Amino acid sequence: MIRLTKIYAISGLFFLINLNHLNAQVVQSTSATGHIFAEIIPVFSAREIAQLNFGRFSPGPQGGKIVLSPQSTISVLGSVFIGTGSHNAASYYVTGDEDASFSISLPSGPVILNHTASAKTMAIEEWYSVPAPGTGTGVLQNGFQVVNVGATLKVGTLEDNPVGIYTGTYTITFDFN
Amino acid sequence: MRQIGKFLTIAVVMFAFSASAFAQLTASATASAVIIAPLSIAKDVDLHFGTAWRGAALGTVVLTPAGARSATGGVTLSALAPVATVASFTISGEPTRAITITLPAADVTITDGANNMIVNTFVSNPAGGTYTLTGPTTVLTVGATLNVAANQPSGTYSGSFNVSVNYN
Repeated sequence: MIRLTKIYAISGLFFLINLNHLNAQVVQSTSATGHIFAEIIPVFSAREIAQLNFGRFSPGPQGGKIVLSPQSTISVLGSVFIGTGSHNAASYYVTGDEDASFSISLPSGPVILNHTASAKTMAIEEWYSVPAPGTGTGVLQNGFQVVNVGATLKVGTLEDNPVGIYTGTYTITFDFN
Repeated sequence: MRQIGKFLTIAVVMFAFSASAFAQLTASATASAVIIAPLSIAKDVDLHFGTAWRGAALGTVVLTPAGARSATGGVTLSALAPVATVASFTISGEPTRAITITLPAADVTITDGANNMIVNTFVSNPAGGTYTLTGPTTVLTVGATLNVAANQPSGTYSGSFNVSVNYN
Protein backbone atom coordinates (compact mmCIF):
# COMPACT_ATOMS: atom_id res chain seq x y z
CA MET A 1 0.00 0.00 0.00
CA ILE A 2 2.84 2.46 0.72
CA ARG A 3 4.44 1.88 -2.70
CA LEU A 4 1.20 2.65 -4.52
CA THR A 5 1.03 6.03 -2.83
CA LYS A 6 4.55 6.91 -4.04
CA ILE A 7 3.70 6.13 -7.65
CA TYR A 8 0.77 8.47 -7.59
CA ALA A 9 2.97 11.27 -6.34
CA ILE A 10 5.40 10.81 -9.25
CA SER A 11 2.71 10.94 -11.90
CA GLY A 12 1.40 14.16 -10.33
CA LEU A 13 4.85 15.74 -10.69
CA PHE A 14 4.92 15.03 -14.41
CA PHE A 15 1.72 16.99 -14.90
CA LEU A 16 3.19 20.02 -13.16
CA ILE A 17 6.22 20.05 -15.46
CA ASN A 18 4.03 19.87 -18.52
CA LEU A 19 1.99 22.83 -17.37
CA ASN A 20 5.12 24.91 -16.80
CA HIS A 21 6.30 24.08 -20.30
CA LEU A 22 3.05 25.34 -21.80
CA ASN A 23 3.21 28.57 -19.81
CA ALA A 24 6.75 29.24 -21.00
CA GLN A 25 5.70 29.11 -24.65
CA VAL A 26 2.85 31.54 -24.16
CA VAL A 27 5.16 34.12 -22.59
CA GLN A 28 7.44 34.10 -25.68
CA SER A 29 4.81 35.80 -27.86
CA THR A 30 4.70 39.55 -27.80
CA SER A 31 3.04 42.18 -29.91
CA ALA A 32 3.10 45.92 -30.50
CA THR A 33 0.44 48.26 -31.83
CA GLY A 34 1.10 50.77 -34.59
CA HIS A 35 -1.27 53.51 -35.63
CA ILE A 36 -2.33 54.15 -39.19
CA PHE A 37 -3.06 57.58 -40.64
CA ALA A 38 -4.13 58.82 -44.04
CA GLU A 39 -5.04 62.27 -45.26
CA ILE A 40 -7.60 62.53 -48.05
CA ILE A 41 -8.04 65.90 -49.72
CA PRO A 42 -10.53 66.96 -52.38
CA VAL A 43 -9.72 67.33 -56.02
CA PHE A 44 -8.72 70.95 -56.26
CA SER A 45 -8.84 72.42 -59.73
CA ALA A 46 -8.45 75.76 -61.43
CA ARG A 47 -9.09 76.65 -65.05
CA GLU A 48 -8.87 79.84 -67.01
CA ILE A 49 -12.30 81.00 -68.08
CA ALA A 50 -11.17 84.35 -69.53
CA GLN A 51 -7.81 85.39 -70.93
CA LEU A 52 -6.07 88.57 -69.91
CA ASN A 53 -6.64 90.98 -72.79
CA PHE A 54 -5.54 94.63 -72.83
CA GLY A 55 -7.56 95.24 -75.98
CA ARG A 56 -6.58 97.67 -78.74
CA PHE A 57 -4.53 100.79 -78.20
CA SER A 58 -2.09 103.09 -79.96
CA PRO A 59 1.28 104.06 -78.56
CA GLY A 60 2.00 107.80 -78.42
CA PRO A 61 5.32 109.63 -78.78
CA GLN A 62 6.58 108.90 -75.25
CA GLY A 63 4.91 105.61 -74.46
CA GLY A 64 3.07 104.94 -71.21
CA LYS A 65 1.17 102.33 -69.26
CA ILE A 66 -2.18 100.61 -69.45
CA VAL A 67 -3.72 99.53 -66.16
CA LEU A 68 -6.31 96.77 -66.40
CA SER A 69 -7.99 96.19 -63.06
CA PRO A 70 -9.27 92.80 -61.89
CA GLN A 71 -12.75 94.29 -62.36
CA SER A 72 -11.91 94.73 -66.08
CA THR A 73 -11.80 98.54 -65.99
CA ILE A 74 -9.01 100.05 -68.06
CA SER A 75 -7.07 103.25 -67.55
CA VAL A 76 -3.93 104.72 -69.14
CA LEU A 77 -0.90 106.61 -67.93
CA GLY A 78 1.29 108.60 -70.32
CA SER A 79 0.85 108.80 -74.07
CA VAL A 80 -1.18 105.74 -74.86
CA PHE A 81 -4.54 105.97 -76.59
CA ILE A 82 -7.22 103.36 -76.01
CA GLY A 83 -8.86 102.13 -79.19
CA THR A 84 -12.18 100.44 -79.76
CA GLY A 85 -12.69 96.76 -79.06
CA SER A 86 -12.93 94.55 -76.03
CA HIS A 87 -10.58 94.19 -73.13
CA ASN A 88 -10.96 92.09 -70.04
CA ALA A 89 -9.23 90.88 -66.93
CA ALA A 90 -8.33 87.22 -66.63
CA SER A 91 -10.71 84.94 -64.73
CA TYR A 92 -10.05 81.60 -63.11
CA TYR A 93 -12.65 79.18 -61.85
CA VAL A 94 -11.31 77.40 -58.76
CA THR A 95 -13.14 74.38 -57.31
CA GLY A 96 -12.67 72.10 -54.30
CA ASP A 97 -14.21 71.31 -50.93
CA GLU A 98 -16.85 73.69 -49.64
CA ASP A 99 -15.38 76.46 -47.46
CA ALA A 100 -11.81 75.32 -48.07
CA SER A 101 -9.30 78.14 -48.30
CA PHE A 102 -6.47 78.49 -50.77
CA SER A 103 -3.51 80.73 -51.48
CA ILE A 104 -2.99 82.86 -54.58
CA SER A 105 0.47 83.58 -55.99
CA LEU A 106 0.86 86.01 -58.90
CA PRO A 107 3.95 86.27 -61.11
CA SER A 108 6.75 87.83 -59.08
CA GLY A 109 8.62 89.51 -61.93
CA PRO A 110 7.79 91.15 -65.26
CA VAL A 111 6.25 89.00 -67.95
CA ILE A 112 7.34 89.68 -71.51
CA LEU A 113 4.87 89.86 -74.42
CA ASN A 114 6.36 89.21 -77.85
CA HIS A 115 5.36 90.89 -81.11
CA THR A 116 4.14 88.17 -83.44
CA ALA A 117 5.87 89.77 -86.47
CA SER A 118 9.16 91.02 -84.99
CA ALA A 119 11.49 90.75 -82.03
CA LYS A 120 9.89 93.74 -80.27
CA THR A 121 8.48 93.20 -76.80
CA MET A 122 6.32 94.75 -74.12
CA ALA A 123 6.40 93.96 -70.43
CA ILE A 124 3.64 93.40 -67.90
CA GLU A 125 5.01 95.04 -64.78
CA GLU A 126 2.48 94.61 -62.02
CA TRP A 127 -0.19 92.10 -61.19
CA TYR A 128 -3.39 92.38 -59.17
CA SER A 129 -6.06 89.93 -58.19
CA VAL A 130 -9.42 89.71 -56.44
CA PRO A 131 -9.24 88.06 -53.95
CA ALA A 132 -5.84 89.61 -53.21
CA PRO A 133 -2.71 87.43 -53.50
CA GLY A 134 -1.55 85.82 -50.26
CA THR A 135 -1.93 82.81 -48.03
CA GLY A 136 -5.47 81.59 -47.55
CA THR A 137 -7.06 84.63 -49.18
CA GLY A 138 -9.29 82.51 -51.41
CA VAL A 139 -12.31 80.73 -49.93
CA LEU A 140 -14.41 78.15 -51.77
CA GLN A 141 -17.88 79.17 -50.65
CA ASN A 142 -20.25 76.55 -52.11
CA GLY A 143 -17.15 74.75 -53.37
CA PHE A 144 -15.97 77.30 -55.93
CA GLN A 145 -14.59 80.78 -56.41
CA VAL A 146 -13.83 82.97 -59.38
CA VAL A 147 -10.45 84.71 -59.16
CA ASN A 148 -10.04 87.78 -61.36
CA VAL A 149 -6.57 88.95 -62.37
CA GLY A 150 -5.52 92.31 -63.76
CA ALA A 151 -2.14 93.83 -64.60
CA THR A 152 -0.24 96.89 -65.73
CA LEU A 153 1.28 96.82 -69.23
CA LYS A 154 4.21 99.09 -70.07
CA VAL A 155 3.95 100.40 -73.60
CA GLY A 156 6.88 101.96 -75.48
CA THR A 157 6.89 104.40 -78.38
CA LEU A 158 5.53 103.46 -81.78
CA GLU A 159 9.12 102.67 -82.77
CA ASP A 160 9.54 100.40 -79.72
CA ASN A 161 6.17 98.79 -80.20
CA PRO A 162 5.11 98.60 -83.83
CA VAL A 163 1.53 97.86 -84.75
CA GLY A 164 0.56 94.21 -84.33
CA ILE A 165 -0.35 91.54 -81.82
CA TYR A 166 1.73 90.89 -78.71
CA THR A 167 1.30 87.67 -76.78
CA GLY A 168 2.88 85.97 -73.80
CA THR A 169 2.14 83.54 -71.03
CA TYR A 170 2.30 83.80 -67.27
CA THR A 171 1.75 81.48 -64.36
CA ILE A 172 -0.63 82.00 -61.50
CA THR A 173 -0.53 79.51 -58.67
CA PHE A 174 -3.36 78.42 -56.41
CA ASP A 175 -2.25 76.41 -53.38
CA PHE A 176 -4.62 74.33 -51.37
CA ASN A 177 -3.73 74.94 -47.73
CA MET B 1 -6.40 -6.60 -11.92
CA ARG B 2 -4.50 -5.23 -14.94
CA GLN B 3 -3.70 -1.95 -13.19
CA ILE B 4 -2.21 -3.61 -10.22
CA GLY B 5 -0.01 -5.59 -12.58
CA LYS B 6 1.49 -2.36 -14.01
CA PHE B 7 2.27 -0.90 -10.61
CA LEU B 8 4.24 -3.95 -9.79
CA THR B 9 6.38 -3.55 -12.90
CA ILE B 10 7.28 0.02 -11.97
CA ALA B 11 8.15 -1.04 -8.46
CA VAL B 12 10.65 -3.53 -9.88
CA VAL B 13 12.33 -0.83 -11.97
CA MET B 14 12.68 1.35 -8.89
CA PHE B 15 14.42 -1.45 -7.09
CA ALA B 16 16.83 -1.76 -9.97
CA PHE B 17 17.82 1.90 -9.64
CA SER B 18 18.36 1.42 -5.95
CA ALA B 19 20.72 -1.44 -6.69
CA SER B 20 22.98 0.72 -8.88
CA ALA B 21 23.14 3.37 -6.14
CA PHE B 22 24.46 0.84 -3.70
CA ALA B 23 27.29 -0.08 -6.09
CA GLN B 24 28.92 3.35 -5.45
CA LEU B 25 29.82 3.87 -9.07
CA THR B 26 30.24 7.49 -10.15
CA ALA B 27 29.93 9.00 -13.57
CA SER B 28 29.99 12.60 -14.61
CA ALA B 29 27.38 14.08 -16.82
CA THR B 30 27.20 17.57 -18.32
CA ALA B 31 24.31 19.60 -17.07
CA SER B 32 23.43 22.35 -19.50
CA ALA B 33 20.91 25.13 -19.60
CA VAL B 34 20.23 27.64 -22.34
CA ILE B 35 19.27 31.10 -21.25
CA ILE B 36 17.86 33.23 -24.06
CA ALA B 37 16.90 36.87 -24.10
CA PRO B 38 13.18 37.54 -23.86
CA LEU B 39 11.54 38.45 -27.15
CA SER B 40 9.95 41.86 -27.37
CA ILE B 41 8.68 44.25 -30.00
CA ALA B 42 8.14 47.98 -29.68
CA LYS B 43 6.74 50.51 -32.10
CA ASP B 44 9.00 53.38 -33.14
CA VAL B 45 7.11 55.03 -36.01
CA ASP B 46 3.43 54.92 -37.00
CA LEU B 47 2.23 54.10 -40.50
CA HIS B 48 1.13 57.17 -42.48
CA PHE B 49 -0.10 57.00 -46.05
CA GLY B 50 0.50 60.73 -46.44
CA THR B 51 -1.80 63.00 -48.39
CA ALA B 52 -3.75 61.95 -51.44
CA TRP B 53 -6.32 63.58 -53.68
CA ARG B 54 -9.52 61.62 -53.81
CA GLY B 55 -10.94 60.75 -57.20
CA ALA B 56 -14.25 60.10 -58.94
CA ALA B 57 -13.16 56.46 -59.25
CA LEU B 58 -11.96 54.19 -56.46
CA GLY B 59 -8.26 53.54 -56.08
CA THR B 60 -5.47 52.64 -53.72
CA VAL B 61 -2.38 54.08 -52.13
CA VAL B 62 0.37 51.46 -51.79
CA LEU B 63 3.21 52.07 -49.35
CA THR B 64 6.10 49.58 -49.52
CA PRO B 65 8.20 48.69 -46.45
CA ALA B 66 11.00 50.71 -48.10
CA GLY B 67 8.80 53.82 -48.06
CA ALA B 68 7.99 54.00 -51.78
CA ARG B 69 4.45 55.26 -52.37
CA SER B 70 2.31 54.71 -55.43
CA ALA B 71 -1.32 55.18 -56.38
CA THR B 72 -3.75 53.26 -58.53
CA GLY B 73 -7.20 54.02 -59.91
CA GLY B 74 -8.76 57.42 -59.28
CA VAL B 75 -6.39 58.38 -56.47
CA THR B 76 -3.61 60.92 -57.03
CA LEU B 77 -0.70 61.32 -54.64
CA SER B 78 -0.04 64.75 -53.18
CA ALA B 79 3.28 65.98 -51.84
CA LEU B 80 1.47 68.19 -49.35
CA ALA B 81 1.90 67.60 -45.63
CA PRO B 82 1.28 65.34 -43.82
CA VAL B 83 3.77 63.18 -45.69
CA ALA B 84 3.96 59.38 -45.73
CA THR B 85 5.98 57.31 -43.27
CA VAL B 86 6.34 53.54 -43.07
CA ALA B 87 5.69 51.92 -39.72
CA SER B 88 8.83 50.89 -37.88
CA PHE B 89 9.20 48.46 -35.00
CA THR B 90 12.22 47.26 -33.04
CA ILE B 91 12.33 43.54 -32.28
CA SER B 92 14.63 42.56 -29.41
CA GLY B 93 15.58 38.93 -28.88
CA GLU B 94 18.29 36.30 -28.90
CA PRO B 95 20.54 36.37 -32.00
CA THR B 96 20.40 33.25 -34.20
CA ARG B 97 17.01 32.26 -32.79
CA ALA B 98 14.16 31.73 -35.23
CA ILE B 99 11.02 33.75 -34.67
CA THR B 100 7.70 34.16 -36.41
CA ILE B 101 6.60 37.64 -37.41
CA THR B 102 2.82 37.97 -37.70
CA LEU B 103 1.26 40.88 -39.58
CA PRO B 104 -2.48 41.63 -39.64
CA ALA B 105 -4.17 39.11 -41.93
CA ALA B 106 -7.59 40.74 -41.83
CA ASP B 107 -8.68 44.14 -43.10
CA VAL B 108 -8.07 47.05 -40.74
CA THR B 109 -10.60 49.89 -40.75
CA ILE B 110 -9.43 53.45 -40.28
CA THR B 111 -11.99 56.15 -39.60
CA ASP B 112 -12.66 59.86 -39.61
CA GLY B 113 -15.95 60.39 -37.83
CA ALA B 114 -18.57 58.35 -39.65
CA ASN B 115 -16.36 57.82 -42.70
CA ASN B 116 -13.95 54.96 -43.05
CA MET B 117 -11.42 53.27 -45.31
CA ILE B 118 -9.91 49.80 -45.40
CA VAL B 119 -6.21 49.10 -44.97
CA ASN B 120 -4.93 45.65 -45.94
CA THR B 121 -2.13 43.72 -47.66
CA PHE B 122 0.37 44.45 -44.91
CA VAL B 123 3.94 43.75 -45.99
CA SER B 124 7.13 44.00 -43.98
CA ASN B 125 10.89 43.91 -44.19
CA PRO B 126 11.97 41.39 -43.00
CA ALA B 127 8.91 39.65 -44.40
CA GLY B 128 6.20 38.17 -42.22
CA GLY B 129 6.63 34.50 -41.30
CA THR B 130 9.75 32.78 -40.05
CA TYR B 131 12.81 34.94 -39.55
CA THR B 132 16.13 34.21 -37.89
CA LEU B 133 17.34 37.00 -35.66
CA THR B 134 20.80 38.19 -36.69
CA GLY B 135 21.51 40.53 -33.80
CA PRO B 136 20.10 41.61 -30.46
CA THR B 137 17.75 44.06 -32.20
CA THR B 138 16.08 44.00 -35.60
CA VAL B 139 14.26 46.89 -37.23
CA LEU B 140 10.99 45.80 -38.83
CA THR B 141 9.42 48.19 -41.34
CA VAL B 142 5.80 47.72 -42.36
CA GLY B 143 3.87 49.04 -45.33
CA ALA B 144 0.32 48.35 -46.49
CA THR B 145 -2.37 49.21 -49.03
CA LEU B 146 -4.97 51.92 -48.42
CA ASN B 147 -8.26 51.44 -50.27
CA VAL B 148 -9.89 54.74 -51.19
CA ALA B 149 -13.50 54.75 -52.35
CA ALA B 150 -14.78 56.88 -55.21
CA ASN B 151 -15.33 60.42 -53.89
CA GLN B 152 -14.00 59.39 -50.47
CA PRO B 153 -14.86 62.25 -48.08
CA SER B 154 -11.82 64.33 -47.31
CA GLY B 155 -10.40 64.15 -43.81
CA THR B 156 -7.77 62.73 -41.52
CA TYR B 157 -8.36 59.01 -41.04
CA SER B 158 -6.78 56.95 -38.28
CA GLY B 159 -6.79 53.45 -36.87
CA SER B 160 -4.39 50.89 -35.45
CA PHE B 161 -2.93 47.48 -36.19
CA ASN B 162 -0.91 44.85 -34.32
CA VAL B 163 2.33 43.14 -35.20
CA SER B 164 3.33 40.16 -33.06
CA VAL B 165 6.46 38.05 -32.78
CA ASN B 166 7.14 34.75 -31.05
CA TYR B 167 10.00 32.31 -30.73
CA ASN B 168 9.59 29.21 -32.89
